[in-house]
Amino acid sequence: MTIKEIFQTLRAGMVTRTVLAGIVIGFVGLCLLGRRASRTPAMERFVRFTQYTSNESKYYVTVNEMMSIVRAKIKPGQILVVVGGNSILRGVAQLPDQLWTQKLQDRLGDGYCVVNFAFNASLITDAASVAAEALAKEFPRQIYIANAAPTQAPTPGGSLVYRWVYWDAYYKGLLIDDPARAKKIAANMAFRIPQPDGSFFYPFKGNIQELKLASWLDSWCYFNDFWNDVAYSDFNTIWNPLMPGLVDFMQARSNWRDPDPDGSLFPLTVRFPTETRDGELVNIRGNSDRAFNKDPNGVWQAYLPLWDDVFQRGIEDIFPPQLKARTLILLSGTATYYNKWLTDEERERDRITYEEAVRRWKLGGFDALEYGRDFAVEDHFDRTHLTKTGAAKLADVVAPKVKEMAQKLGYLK
Amino acid sequence: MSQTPEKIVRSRLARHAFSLVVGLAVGVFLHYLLYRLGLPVQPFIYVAF
Amino acid sequence: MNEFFTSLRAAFEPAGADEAGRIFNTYWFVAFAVATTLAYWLLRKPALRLSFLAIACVLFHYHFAGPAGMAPIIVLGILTYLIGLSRHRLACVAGIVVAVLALCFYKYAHFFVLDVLGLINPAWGQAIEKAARASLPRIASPEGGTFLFIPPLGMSFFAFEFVHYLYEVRKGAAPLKNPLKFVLFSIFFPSLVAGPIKRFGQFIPSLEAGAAGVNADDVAVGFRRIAMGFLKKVVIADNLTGYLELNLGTYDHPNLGNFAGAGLVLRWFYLVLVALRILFDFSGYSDIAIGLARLLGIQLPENFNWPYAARSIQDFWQRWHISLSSWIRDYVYIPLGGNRHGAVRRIVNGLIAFALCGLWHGAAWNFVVWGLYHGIGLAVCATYRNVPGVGRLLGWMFGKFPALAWLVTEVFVCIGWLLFFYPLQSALLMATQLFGYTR
Repeated sequence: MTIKEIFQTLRAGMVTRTVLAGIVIGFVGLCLLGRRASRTPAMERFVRFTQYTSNESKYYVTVNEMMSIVRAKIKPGQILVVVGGNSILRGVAQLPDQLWTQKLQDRLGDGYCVVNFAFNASLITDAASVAAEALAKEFPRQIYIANAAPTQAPTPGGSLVYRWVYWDAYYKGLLIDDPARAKKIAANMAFRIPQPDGSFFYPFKGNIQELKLASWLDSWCYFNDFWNDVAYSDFNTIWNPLMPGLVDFMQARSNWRDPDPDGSLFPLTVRFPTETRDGELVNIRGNSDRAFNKDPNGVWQAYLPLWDDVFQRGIEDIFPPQLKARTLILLSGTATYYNKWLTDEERERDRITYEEAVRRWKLGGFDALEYGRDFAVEDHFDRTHLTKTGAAKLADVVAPKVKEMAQKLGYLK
Repeated sequence: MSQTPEKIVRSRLARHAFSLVVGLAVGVFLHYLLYRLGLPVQPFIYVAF
Repeated sequence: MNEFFTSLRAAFEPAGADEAGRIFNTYWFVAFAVATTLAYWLLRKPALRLSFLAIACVLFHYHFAGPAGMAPIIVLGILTYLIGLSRHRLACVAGIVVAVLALCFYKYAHFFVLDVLGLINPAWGQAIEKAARASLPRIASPEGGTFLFIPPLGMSFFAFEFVHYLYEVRKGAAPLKNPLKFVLFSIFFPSLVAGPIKRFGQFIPSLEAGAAGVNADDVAVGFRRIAMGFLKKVVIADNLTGYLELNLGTYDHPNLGNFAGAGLVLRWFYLVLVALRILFDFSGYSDIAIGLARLLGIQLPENFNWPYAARSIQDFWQRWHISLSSWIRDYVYIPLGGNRHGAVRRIVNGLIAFALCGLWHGAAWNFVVWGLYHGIGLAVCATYRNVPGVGRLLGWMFGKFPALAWLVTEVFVCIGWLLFFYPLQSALLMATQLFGYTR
């Protein structure tokens, strides 16, 4: 008997109604199991998201997973500190036990529970902020920390890369109703730039229709929670270049170790190569060159179209009003190594830009803090990321601020 | 060769069991499919045609 | 209520260009297919079902092709329908010519101008391209850019189905009088993008049977086929594609160094994966299309029948992309004379048919060579037994040891896939490296 004949015999032997019943049972059963998985923490020893638990390797964490991590970690009475932001706060170049959020936990002590939900290149409004908002009712004593470049106003609802978490939470009914934010998101989606050939480019839209539909379907079927759980705990089904073997990629993602290296072991010549210095200086100057100009009297003047129209208005509706005061924005300074390559005037412009950014965030109802200006050369792994010594210093700066915020917000009563 | 009633029942049970397993597999896979469509997918080869 | 209609209108806005290659792999499609199938089941009257299905197909076509992609198909479709109604033999020939010219314009103009004419004189090709861009009308495409030289979605399939329709009408088949049925034949959504290429003589009765009633068997088989198709595509083919692209590169950037650096066994292993990738990708697509149609009670022609079990090239082409190979046979090979005018004509006809078959797969030289490669393979396959000595011995061996015939066939087919996926020179180099040649 050939394989084809075996298949034909098997097909002929099937009972149609039983097959149909099996399809319904299988599908509905998994929806129910997915619902259960959404409430069960899979990442029990969570420290931070790695390349194996992020979109870099086609793993799209759900808001429920993040909420489960918090629930598994937090002890009764603790103040929740959710850390978001980009690779700097994720702790690139820090081993898990060197991580700045671990140091922050040490300095804050048992009264606080610090979770690191930062992702590479994510914005203030991305995944971590969504998880914190979704947990606001359950854990109202919370502080949200994220970082940004000084003149960067984040997109409400998240960046194009990470906004799936926002829509996931939105369709699961986990977000605080905020009409101003909804209006701004809708306006962003409709924003278009005319092109020379008569068509339009929509910079914020992407494939939003697909994302919304997926999130809506998931709010009924819980496929993301279920299959993420399987991929993390049991077996992975999606090949990706970070898990490159033809068979290896099927291993559970929990088997793959956190790959970030100890950045302090790299010599300074590797961390700050001369070949890329000019490019990095362009980036550093780019932080401030549009923010301030000198007037004819030699006095620095803020460039108001940027600060008022773009920045201040940009940060206006990123979060529901009640969540602004519990948000601490960290303005990440650049590596001290590059200071000597800047002119006195550029250094001065850089300093006042950061100061102005802190003032503006506070004006918008948030709390803000600049760090890194007094760090040693060794504290940075590259222009922006920190080594273990920088991580410890960052924790030293942030811990008192968190305690001060907790006091101010009435969490310590 | 005629089958005994017991054999007929057993064969019917086996057919139902097999059919249920196939149905379950299809149902489970359709659930997986909804998850998979949310991840980056390769375009179909017909794009070249 | 207003909000509902706004959302509904937004739902059917033209999709982005990136979705054209993913159609079945989108949530939009899942929602569309579920809604269409449920509504179709709930409607009981056949006429209502057909009308509803036609509206759904139009919305599907509009969503994925946009107005610019629909326009040429509507024009071609109306022309084909009216010519069919007239049953005028000459008009049918003219209609066939128009369909073929439309295909050539949209799909091959760029290739003819730059690659064929460019071979003779690159400057001429570029000058013609520039003049054409300046003078031909431009229609904005849904995702920005203009719709010049960009083939409308599914153009290759539309052209082949219209040619088939007019050819059969010209031969005496009764044309479709009911415009609804013609619309459904033209843009039936499961097979709109990439087939299987339908024959209206088989499709219309099946369409009518589906409209008359869908039974539990149809539904169970439909779901099974859909699941199998997606399993082949997203679990097997997509993972293989990622792996192969990392190791062997892509058409634009083949990683020849990695192929040459691999051991002989690994090279052959890569080749097997390349062969499995295309089988699972395309047969997966066909399974989904066939399964979707089956949920509506409609049977589409099979496209694959265990092709890698073939024991000769002839056998392979009776199992691989069956709806295309039978179309080529009926509308190119046989009209050219087929095997009716002696061995030489037969071989030449086969080569022409397969060169066109290759070109149909893509407007590039590697596809032409791939087609010719198979044309030559078929010619050899059909004649080698007549060669005294070696030919007869081989024939005897293949008859005595079918596994050997199978192995030779698979090696031939798999090496052919290199021509399909990589530029000509790269493919030839890789093929030689399979036999140990490395320089």
